[in-house]
Amino acid sequence: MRIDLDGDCTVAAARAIKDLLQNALDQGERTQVSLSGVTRADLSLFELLRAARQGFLNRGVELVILSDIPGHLAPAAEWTGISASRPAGGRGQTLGNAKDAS
Amino acid sequence: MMLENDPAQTFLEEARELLAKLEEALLELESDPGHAPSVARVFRNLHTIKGSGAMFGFTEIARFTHDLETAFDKARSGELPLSPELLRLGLAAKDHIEALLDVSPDGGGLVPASDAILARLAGAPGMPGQPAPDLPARARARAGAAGKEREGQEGGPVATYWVRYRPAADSFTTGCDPLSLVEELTGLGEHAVVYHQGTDEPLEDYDPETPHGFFDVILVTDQGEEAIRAVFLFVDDGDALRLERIGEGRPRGGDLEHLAGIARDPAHDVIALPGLLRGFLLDKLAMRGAGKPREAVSHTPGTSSIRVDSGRLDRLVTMVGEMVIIQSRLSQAVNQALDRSSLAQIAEDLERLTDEMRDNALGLRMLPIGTVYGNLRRLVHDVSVSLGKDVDFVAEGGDTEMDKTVIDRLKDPLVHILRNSLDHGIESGEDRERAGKPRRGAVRLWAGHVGGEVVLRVCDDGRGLDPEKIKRSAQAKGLLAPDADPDRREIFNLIFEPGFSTAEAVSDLSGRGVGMDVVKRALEALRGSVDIDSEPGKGTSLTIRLPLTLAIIDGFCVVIGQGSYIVPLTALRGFQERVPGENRKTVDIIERMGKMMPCVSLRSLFGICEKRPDFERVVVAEVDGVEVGLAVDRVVGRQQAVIKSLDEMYKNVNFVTGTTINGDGSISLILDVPRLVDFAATHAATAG
Repeated sequence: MRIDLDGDCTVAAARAIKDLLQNALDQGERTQVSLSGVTRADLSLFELLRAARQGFLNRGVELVILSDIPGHLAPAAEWTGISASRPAGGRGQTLGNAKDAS
Repeated sequence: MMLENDPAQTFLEEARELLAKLEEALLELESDPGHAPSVARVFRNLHTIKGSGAMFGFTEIARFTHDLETAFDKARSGELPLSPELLRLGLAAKDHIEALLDVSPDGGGLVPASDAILARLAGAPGMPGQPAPDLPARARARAGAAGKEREGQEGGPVATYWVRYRPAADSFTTGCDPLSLVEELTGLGEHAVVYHQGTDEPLEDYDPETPHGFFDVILVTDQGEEAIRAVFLFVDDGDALRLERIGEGRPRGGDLEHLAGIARDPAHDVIALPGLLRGFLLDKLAMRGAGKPREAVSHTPGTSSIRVDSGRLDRLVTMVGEMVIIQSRLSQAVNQALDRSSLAQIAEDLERLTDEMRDNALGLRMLPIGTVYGNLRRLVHDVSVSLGKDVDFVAEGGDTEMDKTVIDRLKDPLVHILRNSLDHGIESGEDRERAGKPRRGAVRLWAGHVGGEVVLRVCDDGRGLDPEKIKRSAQAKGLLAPDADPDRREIFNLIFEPGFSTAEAVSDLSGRGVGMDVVKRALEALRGSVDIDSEPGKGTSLTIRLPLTLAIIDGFCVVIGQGSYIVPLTALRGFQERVPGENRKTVDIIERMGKMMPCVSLRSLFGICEKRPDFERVVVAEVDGVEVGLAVDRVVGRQQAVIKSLDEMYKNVNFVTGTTINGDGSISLILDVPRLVDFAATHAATAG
């Protein structure tokens, strides 16, 4: 499964993003998250992604944050340890703020 | 030589390197605007220049670069179109930052020029024209808004701070983004950021609308505590911020990583942490003798510096160690009066080591020629734009190493050659199409090692040189006898004659008033040479040959009277004898292999009055196909000469390029053979 996050991903969208990640986790599939379309983000996004990564790990499912992180998010991604080394790949649709493109 | 403990000097050097990379990336974007890695490189270089500029107190550079960085950050994320205007502004800004490096850190009289470029940038579509968020002005504005003036805070003593920021539970809902505060904080100087994760809740119970973690920031800044507190001015929770000054002066880059490591360790609680950080810095600073005051930094040092591969330094240190051992063996041998074979063994070891050390030490001065490619690429870009010509510039062999002095002094000749090539070699687009060529011209620069020399070749696919025209013009100017029948190479070499190339565009490499004779002279001063070849309608190729280093030459030692002289081996063609006579002129004609050759009596030229030998030896030297004899008393033999430059007060001494110290401690003068050949050729006409 691949989730493409897009547009404004600040705290206002945090619950919706959490639901997407939770659904992905419930399905037990390996999940990729792309931040390439994110134009705005705050700490809530990065902390949520960290929590999600831990949640996936606890269930033995892989969550990959793709390395196509836009430049304006790069420092925050680095500080919070979100920067991934995996290359962006696969196909996915960009569907609004936080859409499941599986 | 790298000046010790001179961080601002290091910044200036690094900034120049970054600017060269910036320019290269901008020029790449001109030819390929969609090249994302180049946009990222532009951004990264600007980001580093801004950050380190702010850190080292170059406030105007930091201020000026901020908006530019923002623009390229937007271009990187696709928010701002990468227009030709933006690229032009980028290049103009690069030049401006370069100029800022040469003035006082506050920008001196260049601030209006900064503002003019920023105003143009603000006009670019997609640019909000916001003030810099991480600069003193911004911090002042924030403090000013709350009625707290912080005048005089910036530019104070550099100190290192530990900042712990634990966002309040309602941070997100009150509109405060902790990340933006940390970003603003990091804009105050060099920094290391450590994020500590909060509680480890299962995802289903996780509340995404509440901050969970907290930050430790190690910040090196001269902005003072007030500037740091001003960042958190609107944070209501008094417990959110902890701030401690943990050190004075500027730690090294690696120290920040260590400090971050200490802060990252969960075993260190908030009470103990500042003490641990402070202790680490005290130890480090004490070990390094705590940095020099910033006032001692000179922005225009008299000595240039050079980056050296640490591997080369390591090898040199190892060799110095070996030398100490050999010296000790030698002392022992002398004390114990060892036999000749033992001494010979020591001498042999010493010779081997000296050779290695010489090669290694010379290698320290070697730089890749590619360090000037960026400037040349920019030159080609600017000149071709001003001429309205489309030109591809390909520079190859950038990793070819040359002596730093050679590279520095090679820039001007290369600039002349390229400018002439673009101006007069490459035709206009229309002319090229009419000639059946692609509209876009091509200029290629190649560098490489050939034999013991460095060869540079500049080729263009322009209109080439017309030998007949050159010949007629040279005859008209009296540079060539009317009945002369020079071969092709001789004709092309006429363009290096003084007075030839200042004329109207007879050849495609002349006509700017900047003579190719100047280029040739500059290259000869580097003990180099230049050759030209061309085909009408197809292009021109200039080949420059240069020695690997200016520091040591292979030469032949000759003696006149009591003095000894060195003739560089590259010019040497042979020896013969002649009988000296009282009536000999300074320049005579002698016979060599069936031809007549001018011969300079160095004894007469240098006014040496000591007793003449029975036979003079004539050293035959050649420069650019012209052979002359140099009459000396005797020839000693081959010698490697370490060149010592002549002092400023001897700069007007003719026919000598430098001196060298001989094995016995005496001094030899190194002869300026090209000048002697010139002299002989000019006076030969009256000699016969």
